[in-house]
Amino acid sequence: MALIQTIGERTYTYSHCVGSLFAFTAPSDLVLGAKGVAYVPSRGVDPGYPQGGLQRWSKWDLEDDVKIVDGGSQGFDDGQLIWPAGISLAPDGRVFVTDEYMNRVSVYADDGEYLGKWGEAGDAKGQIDGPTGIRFDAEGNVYVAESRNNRVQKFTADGRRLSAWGREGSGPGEFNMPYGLHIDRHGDVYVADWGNDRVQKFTPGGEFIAQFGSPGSGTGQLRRPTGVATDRDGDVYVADWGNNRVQAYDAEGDIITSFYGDARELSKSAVVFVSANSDFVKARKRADTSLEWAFRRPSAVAVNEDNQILIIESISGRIQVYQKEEDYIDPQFNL
Amino acid sequence: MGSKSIALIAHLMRRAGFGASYQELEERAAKGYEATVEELLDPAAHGTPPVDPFLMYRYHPMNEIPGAPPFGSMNVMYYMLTTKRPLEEKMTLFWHMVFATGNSKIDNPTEMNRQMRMFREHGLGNYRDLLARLAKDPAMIYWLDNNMSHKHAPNENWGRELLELFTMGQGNYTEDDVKMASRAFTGWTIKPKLPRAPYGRFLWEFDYRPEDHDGSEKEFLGRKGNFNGEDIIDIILEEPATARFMARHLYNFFVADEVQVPSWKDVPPRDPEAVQAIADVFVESDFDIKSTLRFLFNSDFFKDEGVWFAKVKNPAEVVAGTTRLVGDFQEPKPGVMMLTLEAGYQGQELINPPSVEGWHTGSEWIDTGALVRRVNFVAEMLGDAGKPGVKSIIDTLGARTVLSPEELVDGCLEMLGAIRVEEGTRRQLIDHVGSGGEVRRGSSEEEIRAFGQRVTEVLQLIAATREYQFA
Repeated sequence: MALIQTIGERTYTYSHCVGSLFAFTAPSDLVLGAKGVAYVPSRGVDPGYPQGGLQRWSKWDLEDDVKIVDGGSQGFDDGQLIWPAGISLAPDGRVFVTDEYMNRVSVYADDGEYLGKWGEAGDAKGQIDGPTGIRFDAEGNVYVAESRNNRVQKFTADGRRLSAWGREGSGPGEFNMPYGLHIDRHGDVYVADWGNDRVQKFTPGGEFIAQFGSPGSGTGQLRRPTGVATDRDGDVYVADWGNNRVQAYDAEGDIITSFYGDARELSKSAVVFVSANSDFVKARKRADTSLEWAFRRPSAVAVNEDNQILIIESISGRIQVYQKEEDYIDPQFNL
Repeated sequence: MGSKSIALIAHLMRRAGFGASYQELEERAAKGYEATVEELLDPAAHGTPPVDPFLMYRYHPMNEIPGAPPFGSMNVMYYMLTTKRPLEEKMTLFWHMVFATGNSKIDNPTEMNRQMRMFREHGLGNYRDLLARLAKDPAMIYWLDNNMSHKHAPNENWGRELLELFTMGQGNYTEDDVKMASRAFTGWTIKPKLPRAPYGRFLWEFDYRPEDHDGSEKEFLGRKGNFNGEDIIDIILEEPATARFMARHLYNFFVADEVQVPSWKDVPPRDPEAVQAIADVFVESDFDIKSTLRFLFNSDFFKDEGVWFAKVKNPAEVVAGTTRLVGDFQEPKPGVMMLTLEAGYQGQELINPPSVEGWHTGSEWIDTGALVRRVNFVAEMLGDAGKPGVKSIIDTLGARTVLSPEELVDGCLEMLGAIRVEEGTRRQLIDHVGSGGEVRRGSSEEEIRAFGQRVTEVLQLIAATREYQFA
């Protein structure tokens, strides 16, 4: 995979990476806040691990590659997390985190303080079962995907149900354990339909518009996609988690390209770790570090205001950043 | 359905699997014994799906590339709890116990889980092929120092254990044979390892270095030649001792407890004819493991009631078997870690056997601490009326209006997988139930709850019996 890819009129260059195993522990989502700040939920380790579960959400400084604050911890009590899945920022800056096991949406202040929760387990209207992807729309309402109810529900920020769509199945508007959710600049809703190996696109009211991908590992295909994002041009990026790649589609659903990961350099936080451990420095000189470049279970994608595509990896705990170039011109060489 | 055929199927499922609910036993008995054996031996051909790794990784993402014990062994426990191919998983455990490799030295659970996956995928295949894979398995190479074995300075660890524990057994080779085998495997090593941080574990890679291989002539088990590792495996398989040694391992794991492996050179097998018969099939089938197990499960010596409950369950069987029996973990949920730790507390820390000799089995699984731990674990599981399997037992028994104490005790024993207890134990259980008055389900909420309590009380008492600890 080249560091620069030009496909048709689009050019992507690999920029840099952020984070490490010590930053995030099995991250399941990624959203961006103020410039240069990311919010990431960590799925952590199964309860019972003697050294703690590491479930949390983190507010991360992408520029300096350092943690700003953590919220939540492993546990069943209010404010704690067992299976954190999705994260979203309300217009007022509060942080909303879904818990796929506890069937609730926990609400935190930006400094990590627990503020409250909503959600009642069940399959009736307004109840939730297996909440995963979560995103606020421009009006301050929030969409939640439910992996066990196989639907999307729209709530007010305080958890009052507004509307819903979806049921179990593989037809248009049907779901199989949906995971990530995304809202584009027009308010349309994208759902990573995990078990159906596709992404579905809906109007804000839930009317089916289109689907991207089909089961498999070939061009344009998907295997258990977990996250979706769109850039300002309308191109769609899908975390093709099962295939260890990110698929880029145009707005019509035609495949543009695939990203497999290009992290040839360590992130800042990784450099700090390695340089402080001389044995690691020596071992890295002997070993084939190209193994590190590729994505390992990319779980979510986000696009920032500079049209940078940020891809977070569940296994490596790292964010790889690609730049979608404007007016890119190939350098001319004397050959 | 005759209770005798169900009891035989129950015996098969305790050995070739992790036990089964009474409903599953009835279903399998209806299909027939031989048909069940075939289904266990070849689940893919019968449309039985494997565990979906993506489902596991979605809910337990750290199971894919675990960084450290103990959550490194969650992967294995998850398979045991959820597999619909129990013999495949039982063979994974078998090979893990024979080709014992420990994370205490490997210090890379991800690599250990890859070795377990190799056993899962090839454990019912061909023994020759399995040995060849094992010799190239990075975890095994590191475990037995073959990466430290060089052309001019061979390390004998792998060569010795290959002969002593993985193929022939003590007393069937000489020290010179160990030296020659070790020389033949020089150059079989691994590439330099990428550190575990900052991005997590990466798999190791087998590396054959011809320049570090001793290609000179060797004399091994009476043959001469410029042997490489594959030749050594072929020669080992020509020796009758190999088939007999592995046959005894299969007998020990599936039929009845033997003395500990180091004593095998001195103590004859419990059933020499059975072991020889298994060995003969092993050789005749060119070391096809599936064919050998087909013979074993269909043999009279396996079906003989004299070997029922003649094996002490290993902790993985206690934990996974009981959890499957109560119907827990049918869907992804947290808690696999606790069960993984429980097996360790009972004496079997998966992917981390105490030495290359593996765990000592049979009665050595039991000491005062482990026994209390085992009984408490099972009693707690069986005492939880909220677990689907326990609820099902209560509902099935409650379908009858009134139960005599005998009917309740015998019903519970049957529901737990056609368990047979000594008559004295059975009488004590019956007397205990009888002292509590008439057993009636009733119709009020309070009566139903009280009935459920009486049932779970009997289930918990059965958990404390000697027989529940046996397979």
